[in-house]
Amino acid sequence: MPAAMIHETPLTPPAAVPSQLLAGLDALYHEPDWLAAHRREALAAYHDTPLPDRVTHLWRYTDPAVFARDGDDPLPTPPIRGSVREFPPVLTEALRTDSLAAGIYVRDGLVWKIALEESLVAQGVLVMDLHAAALEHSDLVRKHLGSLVGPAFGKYEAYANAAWTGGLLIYVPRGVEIAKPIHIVTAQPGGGTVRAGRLLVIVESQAAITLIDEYGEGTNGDGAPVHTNMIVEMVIGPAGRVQYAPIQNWNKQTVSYSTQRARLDTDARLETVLTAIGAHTSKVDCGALLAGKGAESNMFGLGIADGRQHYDHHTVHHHLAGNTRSDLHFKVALRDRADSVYTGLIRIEDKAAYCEAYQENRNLILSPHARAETIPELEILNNEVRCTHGATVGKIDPQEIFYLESRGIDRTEAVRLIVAGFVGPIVDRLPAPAQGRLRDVIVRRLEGD
Amino acid sequence: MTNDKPTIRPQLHVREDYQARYGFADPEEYFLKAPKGINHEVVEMISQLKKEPDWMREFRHAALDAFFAKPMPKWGDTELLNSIDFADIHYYLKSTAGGSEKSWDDVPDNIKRTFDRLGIPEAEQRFLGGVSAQYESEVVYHSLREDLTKQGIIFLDMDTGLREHEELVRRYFATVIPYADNKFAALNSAVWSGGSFIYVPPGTDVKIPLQAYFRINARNMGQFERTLIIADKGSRVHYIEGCTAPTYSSDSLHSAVVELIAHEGAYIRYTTIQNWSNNVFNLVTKRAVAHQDATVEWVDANLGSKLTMKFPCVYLMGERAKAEILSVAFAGDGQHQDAGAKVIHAAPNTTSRITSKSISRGGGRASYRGMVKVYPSATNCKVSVECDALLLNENSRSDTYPTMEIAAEDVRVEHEARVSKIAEEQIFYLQSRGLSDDEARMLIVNGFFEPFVKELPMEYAVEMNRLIELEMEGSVG
Repeated sequence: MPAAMIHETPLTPPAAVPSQLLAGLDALYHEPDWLAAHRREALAAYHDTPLPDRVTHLWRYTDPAVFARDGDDPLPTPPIRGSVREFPPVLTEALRTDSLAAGIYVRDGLVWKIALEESLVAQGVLVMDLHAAALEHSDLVRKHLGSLVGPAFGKYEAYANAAWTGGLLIYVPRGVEIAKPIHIVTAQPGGGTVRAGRLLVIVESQAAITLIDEYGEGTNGDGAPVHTNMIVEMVIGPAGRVQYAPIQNWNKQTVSYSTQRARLDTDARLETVLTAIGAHTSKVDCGALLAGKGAESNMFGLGIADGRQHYDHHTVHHHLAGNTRSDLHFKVALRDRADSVYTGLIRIEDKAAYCEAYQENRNLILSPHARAETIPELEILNNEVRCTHGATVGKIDPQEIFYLESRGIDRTEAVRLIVAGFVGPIVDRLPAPAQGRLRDVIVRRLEGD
Repeated sequence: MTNDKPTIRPQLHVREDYQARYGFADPEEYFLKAPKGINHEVVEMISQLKKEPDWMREFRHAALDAFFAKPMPKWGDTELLNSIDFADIHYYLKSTAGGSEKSWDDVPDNIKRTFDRLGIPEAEQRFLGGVSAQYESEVVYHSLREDLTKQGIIFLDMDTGLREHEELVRRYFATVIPYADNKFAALNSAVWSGGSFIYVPPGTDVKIPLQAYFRINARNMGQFERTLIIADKGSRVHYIEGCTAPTYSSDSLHSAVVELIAHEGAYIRYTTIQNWSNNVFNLVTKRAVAHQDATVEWVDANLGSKLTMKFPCVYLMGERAKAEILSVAFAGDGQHQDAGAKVIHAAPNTTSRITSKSISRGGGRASYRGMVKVYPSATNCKVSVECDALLLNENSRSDTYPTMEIAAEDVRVEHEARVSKIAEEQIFYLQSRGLSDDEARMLIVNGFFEPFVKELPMEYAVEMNRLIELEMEGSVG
């Protein structure tokens, strides 16, 4: 018997089309003054910030210009008015089998449809359109929105702060532990569109959630590139626990820019399982600030690229408080002419004593023309510390193939087994509803399907 | 039982000792001193004075234009870098009327006293094949053992090298580091003076190390030596350089360019013990080319200076060429050691190994900054990068910035880094064996640097151990 769900079809999409980036956005959404001012400030920062220099950190391997398609003042494509508000099949199926606490579909820059377990509503859990939340829970949103990724973060973060539409607020009150996952699917089907999205997650003390944040489902490229720019902010209170699984599965015309930051209070825990399988060009900056004693962040990453896909992933574990712990495993498998850049920073501040931080990046090169860059970085300002990092780049060891062949397994199957063994430990970390489905997708991709 | 106890020598105070051994300044007596500041007149003056061929004079002027045109680096310790006042530096200073003397007795007394205090002639007699001593801008003493001269080995100061072997110099000079390579290489190319020129004929094995000693004595001095080492096919050579300067409150600039060419099957080892005083900016470009089956080893120790930025590099251009870089840094109060290594794999079956060890203490900052690049054609390469850092107290800092760009499929690249403090268990264990806290820490630090020290010739290893001991004194915990 499925749990009772409240279904919402949020906010009417705006009828008018903004003629400039900001003109009208706040009016269309009836946004409070502080938010309109925040957008204006962000737009000014976007204009004032020069295009990143190719010699600066994090921009050495990706051309910054690809993210600014229309030059200086790209318009977000106006939200599309939809008539039928259906969930995509993946959410419909998961809701039917009662395997989600909430399902959310964000499409075309709109929060398309939300389903939330009724019992959670009673406990004060909020899963809602961020435009509406900015009005109804103004103080809460105002306090946290932009607190981790604000307009000063960088040029494209400033853009996303100015231009986001169809954002989401997820709020979990103190002590509420939600066992089943919350699954967000974000789709942007139209070719030639430019959009910025936003996710704000606030988990109060001792609360717990699992969040699947999936991008790309339902897109079918018509050839024209899709531009997307996403900011995710997660504020995790004392002893709060979050499992977060961003899944980037955009179609191969998509140019994706994404910045994710989490702030962990005392004894908070975050497990991030990042999967990247789609997009033409994807740049991701994913980080955790360990701001309270005893906080712990574990990050697992998996990138699979083929064709001419370009990935540029940056991870940050920033230890601001003592007795914090971080661990990171980032694996990349590359075929054809794909290339991947991985830059991982561990920074331990001078006041943060007794920290432990580990980081590992492994790259498997499956074709002669694929290439991998790896830049694991340490900045350690305190000596009461245990910190290591490691990185490897290599192809499949011919001896491993030889061994499997000698056991009667043919070469193709041997390669498949070895690669499955390479990515397996990361896939195993994905929340249950996404795991089986993604395992199939990944295996097909690695077989060159 | 008491015999089992490691002998720890009485410890000296680091600053007092540096002052006494290296930090002293002699009265500035000079034959010619360029006015402060850098311009085409200074460059012209240096070139005229050295009676250089036109191609070198033109090279210097072109390099100066490149220096003016290039912006300061936007990476690294930009705050410290931007504090360099290029207008407040003497770019050329000649202390004597003479050239580089072949007999120690001919070296002017005041300079001789300096090097005597530093122990240079003593070292030469004991274990070196050849010695070059540079004071300010010019090499003041030079000698090579007779048997080595007979083998056709050339070991001269760079200026004499250019005069006596112009064809050889012209063929190789600035081929590894072009003048426009970076801002500081451009500056060196414009005002270079001194340095070593070494040519080792095919198949010749220089069995004993050749050494150069660099000394800055004057205030606000810029030293820009230029070293070029060519090891012809199948030859072997080991070159050692050391450097010190007086401790002044105003800053000096040392910006060298070092080019190594290892022909087919040749072997070059280049060892540096950098012990500048804490008011010297040490911004050095060092690069080697290793052809087929050649091996280049950089053994690079950085103990002194205010800011060092030095990333010895090897281009592996021929099959089976090898690079090995051992980088050791010790950053104390007011010091930033931004050191590391670069290896470019441009040919198949090449191997490289980078080992970095650093200690930060007393607010010092040690950074490892490295780059390994493997080109698509460089198949079956092996790369290993290992960084180890010790932080001795809580306000010190250690950074690791390795970059690995891998464009070939058939490679094995491995990188590892560790940052830690001295484990209390280790101290406790050693104390339980009767060592004092200081002795225990010293023993652990010595063990940490052991892989580096054992690569040095014996006399240098002893000196190195003493330097480490001295740097450690009163600083641990």
